Amino acid sequence: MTVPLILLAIPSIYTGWTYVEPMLFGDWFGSSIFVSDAHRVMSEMKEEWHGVGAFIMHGFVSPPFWLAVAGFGAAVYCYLINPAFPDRLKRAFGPIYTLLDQKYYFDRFYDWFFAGGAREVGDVASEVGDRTLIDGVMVNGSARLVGFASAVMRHLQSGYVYHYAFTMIIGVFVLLYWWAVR
Amino acid sequence: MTGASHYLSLAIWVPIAAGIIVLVAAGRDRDAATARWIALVGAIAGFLVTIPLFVQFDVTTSAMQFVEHREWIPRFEIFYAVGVDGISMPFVLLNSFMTVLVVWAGWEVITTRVAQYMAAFLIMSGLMNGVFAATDAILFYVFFEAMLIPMYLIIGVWGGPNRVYAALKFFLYTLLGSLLMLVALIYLYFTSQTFVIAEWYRVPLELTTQILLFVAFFLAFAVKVPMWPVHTWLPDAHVEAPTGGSVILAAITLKIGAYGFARFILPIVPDASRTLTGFVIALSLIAIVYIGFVALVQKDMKRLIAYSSISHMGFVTLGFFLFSPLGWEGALAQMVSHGFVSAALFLCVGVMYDRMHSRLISDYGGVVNTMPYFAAFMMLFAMANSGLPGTSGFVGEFLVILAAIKVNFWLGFAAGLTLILGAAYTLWMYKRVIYGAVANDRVAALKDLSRREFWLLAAVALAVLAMGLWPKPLIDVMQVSVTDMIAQVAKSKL
Repeated sequence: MTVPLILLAIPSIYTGWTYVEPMLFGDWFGSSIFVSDAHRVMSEMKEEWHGVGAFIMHGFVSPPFWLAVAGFGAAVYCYLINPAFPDRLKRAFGPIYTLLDQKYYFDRFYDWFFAGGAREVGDVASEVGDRTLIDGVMVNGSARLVGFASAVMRHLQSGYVYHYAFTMIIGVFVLLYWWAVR
Repeated sequence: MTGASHYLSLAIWVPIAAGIIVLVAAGRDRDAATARWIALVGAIAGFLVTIPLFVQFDVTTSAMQFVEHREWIPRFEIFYAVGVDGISMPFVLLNSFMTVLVVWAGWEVITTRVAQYMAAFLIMSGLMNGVFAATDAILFYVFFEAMLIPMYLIIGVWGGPNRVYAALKFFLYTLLGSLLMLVALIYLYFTSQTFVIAEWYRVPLELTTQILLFVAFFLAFAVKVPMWPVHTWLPDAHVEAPTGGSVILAAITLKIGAYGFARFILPIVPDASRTLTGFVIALSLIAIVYIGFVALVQKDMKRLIAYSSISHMGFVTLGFFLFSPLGWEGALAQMVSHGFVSAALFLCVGVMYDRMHSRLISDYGGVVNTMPYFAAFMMLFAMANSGLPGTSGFVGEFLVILAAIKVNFWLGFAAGLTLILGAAYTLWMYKRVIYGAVANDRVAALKDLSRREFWLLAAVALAVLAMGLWPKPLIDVMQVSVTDMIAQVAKSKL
């Protein structure tokens, strides 16, 4: 990893050093980027600009640099000088440590709520919606209904003449009754 | 280009003739090698004859081109009338291209009844070109129904263990849907005394009549698309069909349903379409969102891609019913793109199935360790299925979402959910199958793509990237026809 990192660092330094001025205050972008007159940020920044060298030197007196140095110092102390210290710190601030270690539980929450929830919705839609209601009741259900109706109707076709005769007589009675009542 | 040309007839009859030759010349199993070669030559010839359709296509007119008109059944004024416009031409090309891939994909995989398998695909290819090219309603209907037979055989004969159930379900669903369409066609004939589809665009119809006709056509085409809730035949058919069957089913057959919306429903019954817009948009959104969730939890890869197809086709119907050029172009672009992407994903599953004889996600894991080239191809297709910019999948979805937002922000928002859900189910499947540690000894023993498989996937990958990076030729072909069709749809017939 070291060699690629070095190889990436060289053009980074070169590009930053050479192009920061033309990019920010020169004509690098032509008319592609337009700064509204109401927000003259770039021209105000330009008044504070004293070249790349001064820009770099100014970096050493700004808080981000010292915070980075402090972080480096803390890491050196914790992992090189006094390796037992992080463990003590962890025990002293248990809950805070866990909260940070678990990234404020956001990942767990997303996993449970969004991913798990979506799978839950999918399961219900697939099992109840597609398999049971649509395929089970509507599609195969209508086929089963036809099968069931035929199975019932089949018993009427007994092959005995007197069954058919009785059915006809009952039919005549029903028709007569209906006619009379009407 | 309206002079006498026979390209469309060639596009229809060359594959059919090739199919018959395969059957006659190499029908026995010991002639399998001959059958494969005849089929490949026939499929390539079938594709070559469609190239002039693109090259000589006049993008400045919405009129039918490459028109042929012959008497067929004069007593009922039924003609053998074919022609293509910017809406149908791309699908003739797509279909003929896919036929070559399918014949090639089945090269070593299909070992029983090879000639019959190849013939079924070739004949179906010709019939489907007929569906897209027919300008006479009865000719359309004949092709539309005849197409069911080879597909029924493909699923029923070369399919998986539950193939008979799936084949019958596919057949009954689509047949029942289309019977009412025949009634509608006959009604329109008696009203207009002609079966010329374009003439029906001008026939005045009352709103009630239009709604009844809408229902009749809608049932036929909604089943084919398929729209929720008449979609459950598709996952079953895909799971049981051989790889080639799934490819054609996803790439072309579904498009015929959507094509029916554009060619029949919207221009013939425009007022009913506008009245029932809310209904169709609701069904489309259910397809996009609900089916997206269903796809997420599938355990079988083919079933997952089948559900993904339904969800993506929801975009197509949504696009059409937004009544704007953007929506229509998006819908048509989505149809072409989905043709490539879903076909590619089914080919990928086929590649794995041929080695492992399993489509279950849980049987895989860490495939990238043994099949790196394959993993790279599948990555591209998974990204395209998620609608990643730079792939064909992005073009249609982007246009439809744009059109939807113009109509109503929340409509666009709901449609946009597909990008999240699509990424979720596709990439999650990809992760479980391809990444991670090698799942078992069978995965460890996998061999990467053969040369045939490599070039097969490369051909589709090229198409996916070409369309994603440079969709202009396709959009140019469609533009004038779409604008004209939308003007047609905007006219009231009351």
